[in-house]
Amino acid sequence: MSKAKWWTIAAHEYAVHAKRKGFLIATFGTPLLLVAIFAAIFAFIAFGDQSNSLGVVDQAGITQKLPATVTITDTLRKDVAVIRFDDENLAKAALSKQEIDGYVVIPSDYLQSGALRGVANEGNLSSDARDRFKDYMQKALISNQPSLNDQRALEPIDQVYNRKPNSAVETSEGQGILLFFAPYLFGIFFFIAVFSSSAYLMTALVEEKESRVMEILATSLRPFELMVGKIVGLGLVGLTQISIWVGTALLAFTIARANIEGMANLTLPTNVLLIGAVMFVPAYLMVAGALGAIGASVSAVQEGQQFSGIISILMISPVWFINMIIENPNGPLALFLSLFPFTAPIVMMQRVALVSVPAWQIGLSVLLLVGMAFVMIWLSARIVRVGMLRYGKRLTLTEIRRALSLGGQHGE
Amino acid sequence: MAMLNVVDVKKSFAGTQAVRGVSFNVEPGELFGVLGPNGAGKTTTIRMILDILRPDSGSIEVLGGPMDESKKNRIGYLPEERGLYRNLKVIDCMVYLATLKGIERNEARKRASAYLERVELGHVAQKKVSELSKGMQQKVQFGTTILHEPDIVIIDEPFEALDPVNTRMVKDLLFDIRREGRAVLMCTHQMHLIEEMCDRIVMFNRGEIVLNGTLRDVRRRFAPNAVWVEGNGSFDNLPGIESVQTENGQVQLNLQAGTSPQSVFQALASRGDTSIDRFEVAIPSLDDIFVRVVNGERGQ
Repeated sequence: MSKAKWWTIAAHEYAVHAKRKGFLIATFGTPLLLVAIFAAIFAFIAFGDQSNSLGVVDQAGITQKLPATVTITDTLRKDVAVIRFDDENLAKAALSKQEIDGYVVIPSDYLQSGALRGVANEGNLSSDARDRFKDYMQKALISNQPSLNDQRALEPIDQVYNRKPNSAVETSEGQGILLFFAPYLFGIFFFIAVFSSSAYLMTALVEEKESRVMEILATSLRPFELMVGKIVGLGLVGLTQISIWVGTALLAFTIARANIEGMANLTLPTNVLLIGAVMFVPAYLMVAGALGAIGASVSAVQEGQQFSGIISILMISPVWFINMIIENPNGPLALFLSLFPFTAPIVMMQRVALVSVPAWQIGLSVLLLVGMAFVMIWLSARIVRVGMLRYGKRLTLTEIRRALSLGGQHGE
Repeated sequence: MAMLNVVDVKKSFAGTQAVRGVSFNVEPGELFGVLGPNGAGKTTTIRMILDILRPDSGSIEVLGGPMDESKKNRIGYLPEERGLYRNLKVIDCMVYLATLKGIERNEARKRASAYLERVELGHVAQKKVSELSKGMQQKVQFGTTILHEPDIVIIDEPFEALDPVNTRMVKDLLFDIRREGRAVLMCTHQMHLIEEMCDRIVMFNRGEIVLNGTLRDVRRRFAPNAVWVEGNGSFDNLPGIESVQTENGQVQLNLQAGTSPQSVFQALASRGDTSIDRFEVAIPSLDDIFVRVVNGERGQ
């Protein structure tokens, strides 16, 4: 193979696509968008429909051992102060002055009935307020158990440290959240980078067919060289994109860890990044091969997008099963999805973040992915050879079957 | 050494024979015309020469041997189905396609600039291809075909969308290529350009070559053994004349076998009551020959 020609194609594809507005917007806009989305989610959780302060009127006398104001905390939500009022009139006055968002009256027969009477301007206490009152009531009841350590009774769980069965390394609750989000985030990056680069490849092939440049290319180099050049060039585009994204994420994490007290002890799951790095190239080759074959078979970009949608659904399908994967990361579904080449990268990243995945499973997963990449590149080279000069109508299944059986022969 | 040597080449698609035993050769310094109606097998034959398709049987030699990857850089091809990268700048598009033909980038840029100046497109070098008129795009496309100075130039309808001035420009470029001892194989339906430019022609019909030779030979094969005369006076009752036809003021005198045009001319000149403005041995135009061949005639 003439190195110069495939490299010329690769350099051209890289230069053209890396300068496209769409690429620049996606590459530099995606991290900003993700930051905005996560910020919005946290803001919604932290500030959306939440109580600021609540009140309590204790007619049963069960809260006397608690301070007059008790702060109810929650991992993802802001702290809420529950203030005890001596009588309901004071609570009502505080409510009318909007010092509190609502209050409950604990009737004298509470211990028998378990019933509370809630008062709020809207008529109903919000679900957040109900959750906080539940915590408050537990604290009140526990405070009446003399044999317990008061502080521990009031805050039964301060922190949970997790570790894998055969590991001495423990992770905090924050680290657990990171272990959920990191593979999820990198999975999204991975999917977008792999799929968008492959989609560029498909679009470039169809456009070259539509614009009839393909016939010039066909007389300048072999279809295989053409495909290698495009795959390398656009692969580098995808690599540039994911490097910028991952780099930005790592930088943001480093800055956050240095400046936010709660994050100081968090460590990035490097095994997730390692799995992602190992699987990126074969995954890209596999999808690029599939989309390249589609590009060579169809006659219009729109038609190609319809077919490529099937591949994208396959790749992103693990998101539908994310709960099942997290609940049982070594279960049969998670195992299957982490071995099936089209879903393997995203699911394997999630699994290695959560549990110790046996080395043979990781090895087999990578092997199957590499194998599928070879199959897809082989298929696409055969189909490109036949479909590259087909204008105006797509290849039929019979023609594709014939192309696959042609071996090294040219045909039409 | 022939630049191209095509011997008994056949190609079928799904049971339909598109090319049926085609043979011809193209010599250095030759402008070779390929004619034929649509679907006659011309493009399939060209694609086989270029190794895009493989023949079912027969052989094709390019530049003295079988086609291989190294020879792709020595061929320039302007396909019938043509196009350029519409979103690229003209100069970048030309440079890119030239580098794929093995020309170093800076050299390609130099040649592209020189070409654009020659065809009066220097001012559009930095414009996008999509901003050019069809004629301009055609000239740019032609440039991409010859920028790498190929030994063989294969062009399909090179004058499409060109006005007479630009047609002259492209013709001059082709004549230059011929003068330099390189070969041009040209497909076109514009018969007058074939007549004007080509040394030899082949005509395809239904996958076969039905005519092959120099233009002069081909025309003679279809010549009706007649002379065309214009002038005043009577052209009747001349010796050796079988019949007289008159059309648009031109008289065609159909000669009997054995009668020469010279003897008819002498007979006319000796008549005192007849003046001759024009006397020409009747040779059919390529256009006429094309129609007749497509309708099944093979000539004499």
